[in-house]
Parts: sequence; C-alpha cells; structure tokens
Amino acid sequence: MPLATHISLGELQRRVKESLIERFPAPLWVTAEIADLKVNYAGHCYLELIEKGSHDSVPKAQARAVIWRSNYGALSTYFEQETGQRLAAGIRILASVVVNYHELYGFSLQIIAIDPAFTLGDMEQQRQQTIARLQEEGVWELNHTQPMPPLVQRLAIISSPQAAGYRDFMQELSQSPYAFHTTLFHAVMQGGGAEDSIVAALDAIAEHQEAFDAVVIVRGGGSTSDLNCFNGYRLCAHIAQFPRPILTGIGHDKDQSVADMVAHTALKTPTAVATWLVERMATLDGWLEGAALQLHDLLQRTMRSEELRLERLCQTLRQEARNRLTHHRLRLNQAGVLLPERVRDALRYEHKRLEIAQEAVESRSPQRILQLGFAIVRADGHALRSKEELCRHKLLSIELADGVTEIRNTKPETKN
Amino acid sequence: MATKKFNYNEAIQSIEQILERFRNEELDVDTLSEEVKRATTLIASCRERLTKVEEEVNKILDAE
Repeated sequence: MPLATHISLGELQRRVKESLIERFPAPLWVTAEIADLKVNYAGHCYLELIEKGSHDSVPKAQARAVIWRSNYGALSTYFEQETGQRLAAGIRILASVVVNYHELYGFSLQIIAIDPAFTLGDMEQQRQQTIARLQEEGVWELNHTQPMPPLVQRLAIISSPQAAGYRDFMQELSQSPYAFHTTLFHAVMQGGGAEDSIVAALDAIAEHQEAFDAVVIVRGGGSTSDLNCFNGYRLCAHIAQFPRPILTGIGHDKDQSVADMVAHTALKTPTAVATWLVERMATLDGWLEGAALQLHDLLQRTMRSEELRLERLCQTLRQEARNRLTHHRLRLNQAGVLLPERVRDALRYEHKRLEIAQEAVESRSPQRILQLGFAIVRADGHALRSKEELCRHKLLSIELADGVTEIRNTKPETKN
Repeated sequence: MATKKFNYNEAIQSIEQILERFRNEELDVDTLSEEVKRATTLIASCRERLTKVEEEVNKILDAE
C-alpha cells in the first residue's frame, strides 16, 4: 500500500468537519422526535433525536443534540408557555440546528431555536388521530356505558405515590365521613414512559377487577405540563375498553385530553374526583336514609292496618259469639218452657195408663164377679168347670160374695 | 216390693203382660186373684214412683 495515499485520522476528521461546515454553513430547520433528554450539572441540555420508521418503533435515523445553558432557559420556558408541554422525551419538535462535527465526539447538532407551533400542531394531529381511530373502532363510548355502581367504595388508584395530586385526593377522601378502600397502583405520570406505565397499571388492575368498583387516574397539582401521553392511542384505547368505570383527575385547564373524553367521568383535578366520590356516597347515604324512613312508615302503616283488621275481626267474633249465645239461650228458654209441659204430659199419660190398667185389673177381680151373683164351685180344692166334673163329687164347696159354704151333692153319679 | 230394685219400665211391662193374659182369657180362676193382687200392687208402686218423680221434677223445674 503506497504511503503517499494515506492520511491520518485527525486529517480525515478535519476534512469531514470542513466539508460539513462548507455544506451546512447556516442553521437548518429539522423535524425529529426527542428520544431522551438530560440537563447536566452545568445546565446544558443533551438530547437524543430520532426519526421513527413507518411502524412507530425502530428509529431509522438518530443524532445527538445539545442546547447550551445560555440558550436553554429561555428556549424551554417559551416552549412550555406556548405548548403547555415541557420539552421531554416522546414529543416531536421542529428545531433550528447547526451541524457540528468534533474530532473527538463526532457528529452532533446544536439546537438554537424550537418552533412550538410545530409541536402543538403535531400534538393536535396526534390527538385527532387518536379520536378518529377510537371512534372508527367503535370503542369510544365503551367506558361511558360501564355501569357506575351506586356504592363506589373500593377504588384502584393510578398515580405516582409522591404526586401532590394523589395526596390532595387522599386527604379529601379521609376528611369525608365515609370509608373508602383505596389501593394505589404506581405509575409514572409524565414523560416518555408514562403511557406504557399507566397501561401496565391498568392491566394489573384488570386482573383483580372484581375487587374494585371503579378506577381513578390522578396526576399533577394543576401545573400545565406534559399531557401528551393522555392523548396517546394505546392508553386511550385501554381506558375506553376497561371493564370498570374510570374517573380521571388529570389536572389541567386547557383542552380536555382524549383520556378524559373516553373515561366514564372526567373531572378537572384529583380533589374534584374525591369530592365527586364523596358526594356520590352522600347521595347514596341520603337515599338509604330516605328508604329507611319509608320502610319505617310502611311498616307502621301495615302494622296499624293489621291492628285494625284484628280489632274488626275481634269485634265480629264477639258479635258472632253473642249471637250464638242468644240463639242458644232462646232455644233453652223455649226448652225450659216446653220441658215442664212435656214432662207433665208424660206423667199425665203414665197416670192415665195406670188408671186404665187398674180398671182392667179390677174388672177381672173374682170378688167383683162374685158380687155380681156368680159362685165358684170347688171340690177337693179345685174349681169345677163342667157338669160332668160336678157329678163326680159328693162334697162341694160353694164360694159366694160373702163367704164359702159346704154342701152335699145329692145327685152324684153312681157309676163309681 | 223392695223400692231399691223397683224398675218402672219392668213393672209396666209386667202389668201389660197380666192385662194381655186377661184379654186372652188365659187366666185360671185359681191364679186370678193372685194375678190381680200382683197387678194391683205393681200399679200402686208405679203410681207411687210416678208421684215421687213428679214431685222431684216439679221441684227441679220450679228451682230454675
């Protein structure tokens, strides 16, 4: 290999740098997505810029970039004011850059300006795309139609545990007279990882969905920053299709995020969510109290009407018993009147019977027959009933009314 | 007749039987007076019982 044809690494780098400066003498406007952003101890901001492929996943271009401290403060403040969005990973920007090349550190871009209008437009575009897609897929209304149970007491809360909004929410609940059972599902609520983190929390809750009446997503304390993830399709699709009603208190006063739009109930702040829950509990409490009163009234009315019924029955019974008694008393009275009559009739009848019997007996009395002039003729102590018998005896005894006399039969049969 | 054992219905039956025999001319002159005496006694007993019952009944009825 000829020595004359080679150059040193430094020379190569120098040439590359020269041609780059020659080729890009002035700043250029470049669109890119922020993949990473760090501010170092000195106040300089270092970024990773990428351009994503068609499927939103693998970057097809990547470059380091820097915003010097002298520039960073004003630039980031302006950006945030205009977009309501902090400069952070996950957002797309239009930046005015100067191409740099350093022999030691290679290719990099120095950002001297960022156009907030582009990011706003991009975010709005993303927002509109998310809305359109959810509506197209027919899931837009799904969480709205999830029934919100009358008693919302067991709550799954998605928040960062340190967030002021979470503390406000918990404090508001604890000051109410009602018992809420809250379970916190940790999630990163801002920056590039927020969407994935919240989706993971939702998945974790879905596994125990029977244990919860509703899900609450709270964030922030009213500071306007980094809402972009709440417009992301993945998170919003999860919220829309979640099997429990979702309440949001994302804490912003600009446009509603898509997450708010698809959630069952959207409220401005975490405190507002807590107030809403407490009021719902109070409504239920009032309803229960009313129901208890109604039940009490109804019971009393029923008892009173039953008492009246019993009383009426009692009266009827008493009347009926009195009627029966009267009836029987009348019958007894009748019997009382009839009895002596009947008894006396019976006795009279018996007397008559005896009288008749006596007459009949007397008419047969031998004494009476004798008095009529009849006589009984006896021989040997036996009454004689025929002439033939009479002829057989010599001695006859004749009984008359006043006594017995013995006579001799002068015409006895001489046969014997 | 022993009043303890006296039974009105039986006495009446006996009287009826004697009367029946009278009607059928079944009676012997020799036993006739005996039968008449018996019937008369039974009738007297029945009368006595009847009078007693009557008194008792009247007493009960009047007590009401």
